[in-house]
Amino acid sequence: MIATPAPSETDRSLKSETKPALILVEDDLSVLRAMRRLMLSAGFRVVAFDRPRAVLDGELPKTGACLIVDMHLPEMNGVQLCETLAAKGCRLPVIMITGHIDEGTRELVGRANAVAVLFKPFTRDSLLEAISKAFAVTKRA
Amino acid sequence: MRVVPQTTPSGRAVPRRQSKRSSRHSAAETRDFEELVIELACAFVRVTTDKIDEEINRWLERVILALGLDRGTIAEINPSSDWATFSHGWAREPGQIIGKSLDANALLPWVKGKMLAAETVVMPSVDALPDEAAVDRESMRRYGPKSNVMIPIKVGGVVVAAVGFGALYHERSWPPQVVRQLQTVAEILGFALERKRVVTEMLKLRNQLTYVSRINTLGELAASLAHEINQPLAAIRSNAEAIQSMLESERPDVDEIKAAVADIVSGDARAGDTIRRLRALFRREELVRSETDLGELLAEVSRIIGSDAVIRRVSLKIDVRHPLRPILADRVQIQQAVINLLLNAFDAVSETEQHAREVTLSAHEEESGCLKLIVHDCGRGIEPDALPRIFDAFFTTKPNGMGMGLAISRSIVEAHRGRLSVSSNPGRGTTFEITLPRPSEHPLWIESKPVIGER
Repeated sequence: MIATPAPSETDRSLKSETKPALILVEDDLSVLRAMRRLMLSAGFRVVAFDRPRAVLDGELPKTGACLIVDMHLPEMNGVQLCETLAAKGCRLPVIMITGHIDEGTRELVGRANAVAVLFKPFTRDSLLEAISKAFAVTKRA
Repeated sequence: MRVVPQTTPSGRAVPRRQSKRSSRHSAAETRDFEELVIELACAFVRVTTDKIDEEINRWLERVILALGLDRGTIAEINPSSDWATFSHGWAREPGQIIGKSLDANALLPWVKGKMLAAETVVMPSVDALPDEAAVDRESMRRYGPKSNVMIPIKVGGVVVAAVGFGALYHERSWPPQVVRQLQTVAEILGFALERKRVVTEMLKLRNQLTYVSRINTLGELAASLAHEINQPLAAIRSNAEAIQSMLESERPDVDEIKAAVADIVSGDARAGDTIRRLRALFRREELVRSETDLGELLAEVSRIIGSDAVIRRVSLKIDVRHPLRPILADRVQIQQAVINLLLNAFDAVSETEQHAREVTLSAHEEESGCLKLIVHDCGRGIEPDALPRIFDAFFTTKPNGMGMGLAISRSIVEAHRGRLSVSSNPGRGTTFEITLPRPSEHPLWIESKPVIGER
């Protein structure tokens, strides 16, 4: 399954302006596959990563895309990934997803500067709502 | 016919005539029996709790044979109940043990009264019983014996049972020395029964405590178990809604739909597994032995605790070195002990920098044949003055800790005849080692040190 998309694929899918792109970062492969299917069937372009490093090594577009990042990833957590991306100049809006809520997670979510937080399992409707919120933010910016 | 006095100092029933056949006890026979009683005493000092019942029956046999008698039985008696239940016995011929219990109030009221009053009854012949024991006389005539001695057994100062040594075919006399020796035997049996009762009770309490502690641990894992279940549920939900979308298009992508359905099925299986594993941990209290493969056991533990490691950002490495011969063990309890050690290890590395949060779980079999399970963390370590007390009940270094986890883990390991040991260097890490003995060396679940109380 998709772990790291080839560079040309990334260029092609992300640089086109017609469809908004979702950059998905989730390490559980079955969840990753399912979310990708859902988003594709909703009409989005999807680029999926299962490791934070792969995201940092790739080239991300400046606009027209939104990040959907799982909180609990190997190597670094979702918030750290977003902070690192922001430090590199990335201004894409972020939606955080998590399967688990406790004190530590709540605090992390606060730091994330995310447009929305989704708890697994989430519905298609709540996902679409979060995505439109993210792109509204982008439009305003 | 010799005339004998009406009463004797020990208060036993007085024979009105000397029985026709009196057994002559030579000095040699008395000495032999004396030695037997000493041997019996030593045996009951040494016997392990799980073998006490067998040992009692074995020694009833030896005493009966040594004295040329026919039957020996122990019956539990109770002032508030009519029934006396036979708990132990041996007879020369099978079928001479008269069933599981008898209605003592109806059949042997006088004898029962004497027993409860802690008085020995010596009955050289049935006719020798006094008039107030008329009912008992009738019962004796019907069920045998022809001649016997019945001695009360006290446990904790209270008469709980009676032991009877009887002859079924001949009347005989019972010299005071022999009666005294049999009273000694009864006393020793009483001590053994008391020991068994206390240890059985302790094991029951220990199991209850282990169960409560396990439920508590599961409570600590609740968040991560929820996470573990939320993953497949999220996949199932997204796949199902994706299928709904795809079915609305003019030309649905059938292959993709099939793939999504397959993912739903496997997601369901994954969630089901987690719940099944969880249910197993909530299992009842009694120890359940089964052939256990330690490699599989550790793999299960890593699935149970995996989410917790992810959430706490701990790198958990499992290193199982085969061959690992299976052992007879209580799977759930060993898992509980290992989970407890791992959770402690996660706590220990929680303050370390993220990239250095390493916990290793390893297993191997030694040359000697014993099995070793090792949990190592490179966390903050245990202070030298805390180390000797680390396994004590209620000792904890955590603000919210109850201090029972390690005490119970050790108790579990010791119930399997194993050892739980620890070594630690403050700032460098801690290693807990479970050693389980060779598979062929059992038995299990004999007395082990109590969790709370004396060491």
